Amino acid sequence: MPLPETHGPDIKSAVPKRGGILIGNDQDTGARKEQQDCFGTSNEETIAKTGLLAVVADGMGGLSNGAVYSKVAVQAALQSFNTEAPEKSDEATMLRILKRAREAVSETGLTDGGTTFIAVLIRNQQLHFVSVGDSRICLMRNGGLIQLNREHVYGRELDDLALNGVLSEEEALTDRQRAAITSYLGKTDEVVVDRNINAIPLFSGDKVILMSDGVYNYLPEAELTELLMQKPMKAATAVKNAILAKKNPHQDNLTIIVLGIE
Amino acid sequence: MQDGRPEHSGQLESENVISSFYWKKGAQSNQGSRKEQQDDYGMVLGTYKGKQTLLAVLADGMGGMKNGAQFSWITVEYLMKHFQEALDTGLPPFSILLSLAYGANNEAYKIYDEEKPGGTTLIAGMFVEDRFYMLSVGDSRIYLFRKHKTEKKYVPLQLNREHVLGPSLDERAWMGKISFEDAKDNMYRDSLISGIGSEKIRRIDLTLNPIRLLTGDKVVFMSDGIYRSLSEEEMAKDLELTPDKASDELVRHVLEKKMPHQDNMSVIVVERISS
Repeated sequence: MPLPETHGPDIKSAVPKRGGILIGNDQDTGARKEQQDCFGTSNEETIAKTGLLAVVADGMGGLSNGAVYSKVAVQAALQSFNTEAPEKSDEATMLRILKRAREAVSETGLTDGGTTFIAVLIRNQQLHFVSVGDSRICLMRNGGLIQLNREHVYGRELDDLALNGVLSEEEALTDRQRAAITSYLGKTDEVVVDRNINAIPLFSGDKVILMSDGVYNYLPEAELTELLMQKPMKAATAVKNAILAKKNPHQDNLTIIVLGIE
Repeated sequence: MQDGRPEHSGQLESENVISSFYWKKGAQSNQGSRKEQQDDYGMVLGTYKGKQTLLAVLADGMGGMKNGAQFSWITVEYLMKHFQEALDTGLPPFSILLSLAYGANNEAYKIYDEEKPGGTTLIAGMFVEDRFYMLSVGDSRIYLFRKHKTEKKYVPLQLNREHVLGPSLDERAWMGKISFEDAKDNMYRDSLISGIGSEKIRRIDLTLNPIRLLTGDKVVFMSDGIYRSLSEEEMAKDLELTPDKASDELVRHVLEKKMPHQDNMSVIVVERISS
């Protein structure tokens, strides 16, 4: 089955104002053979009524399966948002979108990998997000960057093991698996989800940033923050360029979406 | 000292002129309409790798018996007493907060009684220079209020996740495990699914990476007695005041509402004042 193009709007053209949210995005394969990140934003026509959905997924798996996982998850999320009526609450809409993404991943029949999944819904200047894995959602307010989601990484489990006396603290802190993902779509057992229950109010000038770890692991926070001060389109491209300029031989796929509240 | 509660409640130990270079603090509490005060809180200064550090702790005890109050002050006391010792290990801040929570839990578990179950929430924050680390168990709240450049007023951002049953019921309903009606009508939606004082702490919300505070940022710790009575907009207005006045005002504001069965309330406000 041919995969739909879900890379989002043409990143080369100027993205127009969409009902009070400016959208910027950029992506690169980095030093890897393939792009296994996927991203997208929802139908601009309906922003005033349904709000805006932005999604990023970072796929992993043997051969080209990483790209398959991330694409089906993003496509299912956007399709659900664009074609199904909103639920009674934004929180419920996000749970439905997550469900569609999980079902789509499961329907691939693949079992050797999966994808992270971060989705943000902004409607009436209120934010709801869901997050599975180690991609990152940040809020920029007054020029200061604040991470909103919790990453699902093995380090936390190691810390609990240390405190229960199973490992020493040094062993826990230096374990090479600290950054390994512990929750993702495609996982056969329990998928742990991080999300906010109470809406986060947004204000004019705020920015919401979605990124795969190919961004935040390859750029110091101070530099990232500085580059994000620009308008969303410029900011997204500036971040990509700054990362590529470092010419890291292991540069991971990188994807960034910047949403500016007007 | 009342009901054997130690002196630390709401008092800043080792108040130190140097701390005024970095943070302004305020705190207040009130019993509301309840028979007892089961909230407890405290702040203490320490030294971490040669730098001044501030710990803020707040605990909302539960259980209709006296145990509620004991759980909260045992927990607050443990964290304040062992803060410097934990700092001296030189471990990363999130490890420090985690080990303090575990230690407090072991201590609190000693008074756990199956016949009269109880426990406490715990919210704790560690401030070092412009960095803030937090830990949360239960349904108390930690907020970051930042003075918004364009809005020209303080705006809220809740930092922690609450450990209550409702959200996980909804997730189960969406996974098809229970019906939506069952999830919605379940009368335990607001019940806690994690607390301090049981054999194990079921869930802990923790930031691994610090939050960078800007000058003027106010980090606010509060028990549910505050947020169930005030909206975030109302809190933001009160928080325009300096921390000590703001904490008094928040409590006064809640009491003014004269909510029936008003719960215990407590609040700590820490403002970053220098960069």
